Amino acid sequence: MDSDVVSQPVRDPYGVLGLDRQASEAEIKRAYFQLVRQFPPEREPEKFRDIRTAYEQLRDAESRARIALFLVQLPPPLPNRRRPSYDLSVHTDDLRTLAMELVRMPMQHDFREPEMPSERVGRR
Amino acid sequence: MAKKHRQKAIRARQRAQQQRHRPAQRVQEAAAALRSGDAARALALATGALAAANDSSTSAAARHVVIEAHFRAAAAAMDPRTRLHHLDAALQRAPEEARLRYHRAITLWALGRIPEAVPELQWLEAQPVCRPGVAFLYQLACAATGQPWSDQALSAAEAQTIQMLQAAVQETHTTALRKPTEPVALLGDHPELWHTLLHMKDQPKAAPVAQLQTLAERRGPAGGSAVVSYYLGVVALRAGDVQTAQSAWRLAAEAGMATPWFVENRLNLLRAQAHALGQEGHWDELIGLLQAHRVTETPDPVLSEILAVAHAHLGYTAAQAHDWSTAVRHWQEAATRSGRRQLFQNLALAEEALGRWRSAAEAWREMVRRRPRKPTHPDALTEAQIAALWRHVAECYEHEEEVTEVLACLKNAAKYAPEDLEVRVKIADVSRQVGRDEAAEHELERLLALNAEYVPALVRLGALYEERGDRDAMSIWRRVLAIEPQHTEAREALAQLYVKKVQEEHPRYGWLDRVRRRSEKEKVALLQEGLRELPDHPALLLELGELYRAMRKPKDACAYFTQAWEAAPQKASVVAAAIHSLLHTGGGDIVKRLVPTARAMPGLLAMFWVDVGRSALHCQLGQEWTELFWAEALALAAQGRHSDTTAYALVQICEAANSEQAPDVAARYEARLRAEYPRSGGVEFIEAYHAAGGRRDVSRALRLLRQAQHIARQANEHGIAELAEQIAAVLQAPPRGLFDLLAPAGGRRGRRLLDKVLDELEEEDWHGF
Repeated sequence: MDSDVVSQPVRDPYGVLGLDRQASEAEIKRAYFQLVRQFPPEREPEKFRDIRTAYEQLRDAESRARIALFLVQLPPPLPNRRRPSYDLSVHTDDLRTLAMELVRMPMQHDFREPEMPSERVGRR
Repeated sequence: MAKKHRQKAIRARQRAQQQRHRPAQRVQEAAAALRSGDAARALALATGALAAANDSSTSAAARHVVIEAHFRAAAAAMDPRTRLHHLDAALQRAPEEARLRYHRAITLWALGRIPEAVPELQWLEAQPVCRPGVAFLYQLACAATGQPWSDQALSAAEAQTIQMLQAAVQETHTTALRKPTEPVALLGDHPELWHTLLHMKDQPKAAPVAQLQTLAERRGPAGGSAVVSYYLGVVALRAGDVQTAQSAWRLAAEAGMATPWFVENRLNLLRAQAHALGQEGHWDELIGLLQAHRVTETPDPVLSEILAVAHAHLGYTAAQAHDWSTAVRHWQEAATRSGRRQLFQNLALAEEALGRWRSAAEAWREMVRRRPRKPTHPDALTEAQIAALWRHVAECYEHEEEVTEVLACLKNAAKYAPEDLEVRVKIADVSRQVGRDEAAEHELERLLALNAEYVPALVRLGALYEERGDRDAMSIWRRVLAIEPQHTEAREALAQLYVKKVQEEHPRYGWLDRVRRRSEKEKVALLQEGLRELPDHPALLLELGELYRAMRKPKDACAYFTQAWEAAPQKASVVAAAIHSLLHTGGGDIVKRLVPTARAMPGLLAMFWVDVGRSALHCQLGQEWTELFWAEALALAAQGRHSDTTAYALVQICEAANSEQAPDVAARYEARLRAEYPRSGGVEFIEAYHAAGGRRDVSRALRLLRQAQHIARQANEHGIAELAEQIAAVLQAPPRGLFDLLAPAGGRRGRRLLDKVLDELEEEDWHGF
């Protein structure tokens, strides 16, 4: 399954900071500082770099809008469901059709064996 | 004899083939297909036979089969419209055939087109042999269309059924008809069916599910009735039983129910069911359900949207598992049903993940195209975002080397971000790649009109002027240095232009050229001017040294060479040139003094000293110098930096000595290689060198190079292994003409490349391989 993967799309900075896509600026900042405390650069340099990159991508509205273009987007919600309105009345047209159905002859009863050309005719 | 048999067999085969193509034979095959239930094949064969028939009997038989095939295709059709189409086609060939007109009338009725059925039924009733039920159907159709009807030829049940239906149409209360005490004879074996339906009509909330279910399950006409199945679904829904409604309406559809209220009700039910599955996250089941109902064939905007959402979800799940192929498949499906730009964004990202850059670029373009245009729309893209997207699309096309597309996308990006100088520089770069130098120049000039101090644009314009040679590149480089005094490329380019001015003293023709030739003094003045502009630039110092050497002023020359060396002691090319020029000018003592500083160059490889030694050997500057430099090479190699090893350095020295036609020197180092490093792959490499160079035995050389690679890898002699691999590749490559190599680059770019290659060929002094 993974063999056909050549490159990976941009790493989701929201995922790195443990946020959802609607997170506010304050929430982003709070998540960043929490993670930095948890993964300080001197102990976890790689993890810190990831966190820093994610924060840089989300810290201002412009870069956030730009990075949004290169992130896999969440699937859309189902369209709003309207309460189905069924027509559950009895239609007189249907009653007539029923009358027709009660007397009609099925098509299968009218199948016929096709007439074949005589053997002589086909030959030269 | 054998030939005769063969010809006989061929003739027999041809006869059989002709036989197969005879109309009569095709009619037989069509009839067989009809018997086996393949009406479509029968129709195709019989239609062909009818067109090709050349006798009346075959033609009549073919016509019979065509009619029958249409009739059976009509019987097999679930959709009444398809049935009608086949019956009409059959009637064109047999307009007087009663069964066709009868079933046409029935089908028109099922489609709600009763007025059209009336003349057919009238015609049928007027026939000498009337079909059972035709009289009733005709009178019923007359009553249904508001025409006078008569009960003369009808049974009591038939007449009372019509009366009952008339009453129902006129909204008369039908309770009297349903009184068990005074039963009224009605059509069919089960009059309770009528009573149940009439009761449902009068009582819109009544839900006699069990009664109708029993009637629907009974054998007889009512059992297979589309109307009964439909009303079973209706009562089930009245009772809130969705499952029963679904299965009953499926049967009604199969029986040919096609009334607008049925279609609408069924669609509503399907939407509700699909929605419920979606809310539970059962996306696969949802897709299966909609596929089973052929939603893909009958487009409904709501179901289409639900289906798109299902595919979008499955694509997202696959993407999270990095299964990009599956993600692409689902997102493509979703994209066919929904115009949301996010779907195309995801699709583009997935295509990129799979390395399919052209498809990715197309998906990105589609995303841009489908963006909402109203700036107030929550999904609208800003101009900066659109520009960023076009730049990205250009990058996708760059992967595919589709330069024209790259250029078009960059121009789009510039349209949305005219102030983005980086994009415009890129446009100039790509324009040059496609040979549009003038367009590049104009773009750069327009860009500099916006920002005269934009260094990347100045650098490109300088390079462009320099290559074309018809504009003043020096002034451009000076502009760069005025903004960034230490700009390496500008300093180097300006210095090289000074050197070029001094060197452009090729033999010229005519007295004017001789007059224009610069004197030595003027050249020195020019270089001094350069040095004032670029103090201590090694290229200018080296050139000045060369000038003084030519003027037979070795002392001054050595001073400039030394100054160049000291100005760039870390730059290998300058140090090598300074050493070489000093040796030419008798500055051996200075070289000896400065060699320790050369040793201190960071990242220096043995190859540096090998090349300095090779140059000394080439110019016959004294074998002791060659020996000294190669001793430096071996000492450096012994330190084992990067892929340097003593064996590798010895191989390089042997190759250098051989190529400089110094077999004695080469033999000495070869002997050392054989004695000290017999299992390094170096010995085999040198033997391959001799095989290819001296004896011209390429196959032996290749064999030895393979051995050299194998042994070198085992001995961790990566340098030798790589060198052997590279040489083997060169020997194995098919010979390519120079113009083949230059073919992809036409125009001015091609000419430039050709000049460059010819210059290199002139400089190349490769006698070996």
